[in-house]
This record gives sequence, structure tokens and C-alpha cells, in this order.
Amino acid sequence: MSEDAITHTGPNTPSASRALMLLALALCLVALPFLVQALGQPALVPLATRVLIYAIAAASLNLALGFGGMVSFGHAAFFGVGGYVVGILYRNYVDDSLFLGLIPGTSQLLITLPAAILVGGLLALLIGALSLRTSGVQFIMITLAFAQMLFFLFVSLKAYGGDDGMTIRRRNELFGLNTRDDITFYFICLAIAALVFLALWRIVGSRFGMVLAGIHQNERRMAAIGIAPYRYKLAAFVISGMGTGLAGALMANYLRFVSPDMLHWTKSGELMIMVILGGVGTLLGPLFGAAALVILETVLTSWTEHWQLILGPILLLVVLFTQGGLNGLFSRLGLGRSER
Amino acid sequence: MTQPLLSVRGLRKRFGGLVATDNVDLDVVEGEIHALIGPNGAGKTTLLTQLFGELSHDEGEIRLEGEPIDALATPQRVQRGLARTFQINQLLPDFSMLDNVALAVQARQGHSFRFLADARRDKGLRQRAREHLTTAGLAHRAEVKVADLSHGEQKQLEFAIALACEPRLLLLDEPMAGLGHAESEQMVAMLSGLKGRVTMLLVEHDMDAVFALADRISVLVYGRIIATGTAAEIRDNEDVRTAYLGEGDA
Amino acid sequence: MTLVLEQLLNGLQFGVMLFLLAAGLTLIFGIMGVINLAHGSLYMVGAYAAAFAAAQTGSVIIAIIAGLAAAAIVGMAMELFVLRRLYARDHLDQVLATFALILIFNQSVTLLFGRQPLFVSVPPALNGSIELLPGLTYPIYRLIIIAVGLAVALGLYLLINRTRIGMLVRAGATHREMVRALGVDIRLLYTAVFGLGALLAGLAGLMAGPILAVQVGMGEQILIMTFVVVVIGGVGSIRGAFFGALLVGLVDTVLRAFLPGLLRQVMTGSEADALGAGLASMGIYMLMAVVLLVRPKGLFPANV
Repeated sequence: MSEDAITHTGPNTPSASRALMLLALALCLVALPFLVQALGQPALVPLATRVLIYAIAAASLNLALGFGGMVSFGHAAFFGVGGYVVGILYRNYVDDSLFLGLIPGTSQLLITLPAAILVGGLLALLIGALSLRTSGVQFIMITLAFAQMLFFLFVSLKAYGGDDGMTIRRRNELFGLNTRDDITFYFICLAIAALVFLALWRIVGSRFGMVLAGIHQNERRMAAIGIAPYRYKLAAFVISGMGTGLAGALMANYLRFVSPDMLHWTKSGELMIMVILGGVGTLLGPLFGAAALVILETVLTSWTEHWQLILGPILLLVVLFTQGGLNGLFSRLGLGRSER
Repeated sequence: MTQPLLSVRGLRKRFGGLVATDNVDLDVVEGEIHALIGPNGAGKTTLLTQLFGELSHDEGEIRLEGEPIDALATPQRVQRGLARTFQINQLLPDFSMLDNVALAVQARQGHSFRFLADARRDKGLRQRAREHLTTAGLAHRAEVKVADLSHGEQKQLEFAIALACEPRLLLLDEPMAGLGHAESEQMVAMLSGLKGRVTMLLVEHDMDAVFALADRISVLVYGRIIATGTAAEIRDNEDVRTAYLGEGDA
Repeated sequence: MTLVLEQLLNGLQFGVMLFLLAAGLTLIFGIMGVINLAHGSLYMVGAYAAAFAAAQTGSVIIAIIAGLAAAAIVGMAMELFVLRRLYARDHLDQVLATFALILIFNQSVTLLFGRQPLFVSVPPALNGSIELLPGLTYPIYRLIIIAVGLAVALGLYLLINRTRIGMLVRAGATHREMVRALGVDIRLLYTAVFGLGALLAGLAGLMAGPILAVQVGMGEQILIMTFVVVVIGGVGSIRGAFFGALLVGLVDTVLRAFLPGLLRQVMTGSEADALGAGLASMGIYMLMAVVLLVRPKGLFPANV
């Protein structure tokens, strides 16, 4: 039958062209630092690094928000705490003191990153376990509330710089590489981002990912086939927190600075913007969304200090008139108008 | 007699002043198709929903194979062997038919905390899901997205998903509603093909279907069961005639 | 003792301010199902418009009218051009679109008035304090805020429970489809409710002027607290907004007033102040978390 023909070629052709596009994207990302240097724009390397770090955070948020349907307005909490893990461990390392009298400091990326992932995950476990008892607007607000609590907590912790934050004199070390070097640090972030996206890709397609997507589409149906949604949502929330914590740790290294700014509620908003700009519930969307927002911000700030006056309307138009963000826009331009 | 598969005693549910389920006793015996009929608003779906644990009852007891299941949430009841279809389709619209059924197969196999292997390339899952789709007569449409299916196909898919849960007792909420004549006949054939293998509690308005399929029939009126018996017994029952069949147009 | 009483009055005053914002927000959410992050911007608009009018004319009356009118007009325009398109969307789109509105409002105000906060003086007629109890003097202006807030609460109560519009609003919060089926021009109702909400936000903003600095960002600070109020009270419930607002106002004020002092007994001064301020700021969020954990729909859920 003709339907059979469609279904047999269906899954193969797009995946082949997708693989090709992925390869092209990977090549671009690898070539990027050399390219921009050749073009005499070395300042673009740190910019691209920032994009990668935000992409990790946004992709992690997307697992909860896009794939799991949990609209978290508090992911800045995990981002900021990931940053503070790096900052605090570095402080203890420099002072040769013990955090809480127990944990020695360190400046090894191989320790600080897993530590940030762990702390992000534990925090997400706590926040998620409580917040997921609610849903809808209450969920949005309670996640915001938890993030605000942490924000004010770190503002009030004078030992860690309070409002002013704390500087990290040197980036964490990794295998004796010169992490201070922009290109080296870019490749570290690129490798980590690649791993994160790979992991998310596997998760989304796994049994767990199918259950998560099912819960997003219809919780009642999932209960009726014997699946209690809470545990799966919580697990996704925790994974999401782990990834966002990782991104926060990288950001602290990138900036060599961490402050309550990373915990501010507008940071949660920015991460959501990246997700929606790129396309909710798409795998690579957050990368494009992060790139779009970071580049837009950079370009606009160079034009005017009132750049938000331009960003605001752009964002508004994107939300109001494109369904599915940039990704949706691209595919709609490509396929013409399909639904609705 | 052996113990019934499902046994309901003194079930009661109120919504404010309205008594939706009024002291219902009901037994469903292993292997039978037990139809639950009654006029609109009699509380059939409400009763089904309570049996399935989506709505809690105020009083009474529900036992499955002699074990009380009152305290269990829906997913746990499903694990104990209940499944239901919905009158208003509850499907995963962005997934294909095969995905919908494969998820039920997956749930049947235990927890889904497996994060790495591609579920859509899991031969065991897909094969089993295809078998259920074949039973439901949907195999040729397996890869079609649910949102693109006709209403009748969605009804059949509801059924295929319920089958994939491999239930001891299948609760069917108006499986014929909204189906055309041919589709209805197909559904009746499918249900009678499964007779004896799966025990069913069937809520249905289509009287031809009910009389063709049911071993026993219970009649629910204003939340009360007013009669239970074979098709012939129900047809001849005075109370049922006055309360229900007399005014029915089916 | 008088210190405690004074702080309780401060809490009450803050509470009624929160109520003015929360009432609109909860109605807008309850009836139209929209999360409006830009509600705080209306508060800011009211404050700026009143401050500007007062500085230009020196007239209190004109300042009040300017503040109310600006907030209501901006609010209704916002509904007409943006929010109307969001009713059928999911919460995520609503959050982002109204987040974008915040950026636009904040930058526009910065462009118009600069980054320096405006300071507004208390109208001379309302300046001064009166002695409420022996040893307890309290500023007249703050008492008036409390009185206005309570009057608005009473007025809203009557409006919602005694009038046809109120009936529609109540019905709209619980049975949206039914109101539509009754043939009521739902769009007009929405715009009207939004205008009312905006008006109340503007009222809060213009009254806040003389107490707080009028500055960019003032909207978001209070907005997040307002959300806490709405969620604690129960989304869509005016009664919930009222009690939620008083509760949040009192808890926040009392914690800020007394927590640093309590901490100072166990640690050094500056650290106690910082930690106390931080913990006090966290207080209402903890309150909200606890309330939601015990009653996931808030204290007075509307849809029961």
C-alpha cells in the first residue's frame, strides 16, 4: 500500500539529511575559533563560548519545560548554585580551608563540574519534589519562589560576597591545559556541550523520554496505562537541574566571577526565552535560541544602551506570531503553511 | 461459585446534593462480558471512573480477585490488572498509533527508568505493539500520527492500548459511541473475538451490540442497580421496561 | 509594645498595597487565564504619571487623576494589543510575552525619565502624624493608604457580590464557557476587568510614590510579591487576594523589622543585619511554599 511506502521511507530520509546537517553544524563549531581569528575578530570566541554555556543551560531547561511540560520559572537557582559551587570551592582552595569544616576546596575542573552537577541535582530533587505537587500557574510560581529564596540567601551571605558576589582569580584547571586561553576554554565548553546534547538526545528517545513526552501530552492517559507521572517528572526535573548546574559552573569559570545576578529571576526568564526562541521541545533548538539571544544582546548593546527596547518587541513578535520559535519559523518557511 | 473477579459492595458517591452512585453492588465473573446499561445520566461513566480509581468513592468497597483496591491510585490498579477505554478519547496526539500502544506495552513490562536505549528501535516493544494493533485491525495505519486519525480509528486505538495493558478486567466506556454502522460491527466482532480471553465490563448505549455480546447485563438508573441478569431476563424485567427500555429508542 | 503595634500598622499598610495589585492580577488570571508579568509595570506607570503630574502642576488632584488614567489606559491598550492574543495560549507564551512587555515598559520609562529615582513628597495636607494611642504616633498618609485600601476592598466585595457585572465576573472565573454561552460580550468584559485591574495597580503606584522611590524596576519588585499573594490566596479569588495580601504584608514587615535584632543576639552586628535582611526576604517565599504544600490550590481556591 502507498501508506507503507511512505512509512518506510519516512523515518529514513529526514534522519539522513539531519545527520548531514549535524555534521555540518559540528564542523562549523569546531572551525569557528580559527575562522574568526582569520577574520581578525578574536573577540567572537568568548562570545561563542557564552552561547555554548547558555545552550547547555537552555537545553537542560528544555528537558523539563519542552519535553516534560513543566514550566519552571526558577532554573536560575540551579544555574546560580552551580556557579557558587565553583566560587566557594575556589575560595576554600585559596584559603586552604574546609567548606562547612568538611569539604576541602579545589580548582580542578574534573571535580568542580561533577560537584556542580551533583549539587544542582540535589537542589532540583528538593525543589522538584515539593513543587511537583502543584501544577499550572502554581508550579510556575512556586519554582520562582524557591529561586527567589536562594537569591536572597546568597545576597545575605556576606562570607561569599553578598550582593557583590565573589571573583575567582583563575579558571579551574584541566589536564594542565591553559584554560585562561579563550580558544582552549571554548573547546572545553564545546566538548561538554556536545556531551550534554548527546545525552539529552539519548534520553529523549529512550523509554524514559517516551514516558515523559507521554505525560506532557496527556497525564490521564499515562495513568490509565499504569504509569504514575510524579516520579518521571521528578526525574526529568532533576536531570534538568543537573545540566543547568553544570552550565552555571562553566559560566562561573568563564566570567571568573559569581554573584547573585546568576540567581536573579530575570535569568530564569532569559533561559526560557532561549528555549522558546529556539523552539520548545526540539533538541537543537536551545542552541539556536541561546545563540540568537546572546548575539542579539551583544549587537543591540553595541548600538544603544536602551537595547531592551528593541529586544522586547522582537521577543513579543516571536511569541505572538511564530509558533515553535525559530525552529518552527524555519520549518514553516521551508514547508509552507501547514497547520492552522 | 468461585469468587468473582470484580466485586463491588455498597458503593456510594455524592456530588453535593446529587447522589451519583447509590449503594451499588456488582459482581463481574471471570471470562464474562458484563454489560452496564442505563439511561443518560444514570451514572455509568461515574461508576466506571470510580472502579478505575480516577474518582474516589465516599463509601463502599471494591475488590479485585478478593483483594480490596479502594486505596490504590489508578496506575496501581492498572498494575493489578484493570484497564479502561475512554468515551472521550484519551490519546497521545503527537505520537503515532504504534507509539501509543508501545508505551502501554512498555508500562506493562515494568518501570521506565531506562535512559539510553532508543525506545523506538526496541524490537520487543514494537513487535508486541504491532500484534495488539493487528488484533484491533489497525496494523496498516501503525505509523500514522494520532492527530491525523479518524474518530473511529481513535476509538479502535483506545481499545488497542487497553489490550496492551493485558488486563484481567477491561472496562469499556461506550466503545461504539460515534462509530458508523460498519465500524460498530467491526468493533462488535472484535469484542466477541476476545470473549472468554478477557473479562469485560461494557458500558454501552447500542442495544443491539449489548444483546449480541453480553453474558449478563446490569441496569443502572439514577445511580442504582435495579436489575442484573441474562439478556432474556433483562428484556422481560418489568422494572427495566418501565424505567428504561420503554422510553429507549435503540 | 508600641513598636510592635507600629510595625503591625506598617504591615497592614503594605498589605493593602499588595491587595490593590493582587486583586487585579487574580481577577485577570481567574477570568482570562492569563499570567500577566507586566502587571507591575502598570503600577510603575501609575507612579510615574502621578509623580510627573505632581511635579508639573503641583496639584494633588491632577496627580491622582493622571496616575489612574495613565495606568488604566496603558492597561487597556495592553489588553487590546497583546494579551487578547494570549488567552488561548499556554502559560509559557504568556510568561514570555509579558516578560517582553516588562522590558519594553522599563526601557521606555528609562528613556523618558532617566535612571534616577524620582522623589515625591507627601501632599502637605496629609503630612504629619497623629497619636493613635498614648505613645503611638503614626503618619496620617499611611493611615490614609490603609483606609483607601480597605475601602477598595469593600467596594470590590460589593461589586463582585451585588452587581450584574460582579455576577459575570464570578461566573467567568469558574464557568468561562457558560458566560460565553449566555451571549455576554466577553471581550468587552475582559477589557473592562483588565482596565479595572490596571486602575487599581495605578492607584497602588501613585500612593506608593511618596513612601518609596519612584524608579524603574519598582514594578517587578512588588510584582513577585503580588504573585506570592495571589498564589497563597488562591488564584482567581478576591477574598483570597485580600487575606493573602494582609498575611504577606504582615509577615514580610514583621520579619524585616525584628529578625535582624533577634539575630544580633547571637552574632555580630553587620552580619546579623545582612543575614536577617536576607532571611526576612526569604520569609514570604517560604510561607508560600508551605501553603502550597499543604493546600496546592491556595487558601481560598476560587473553583470549588
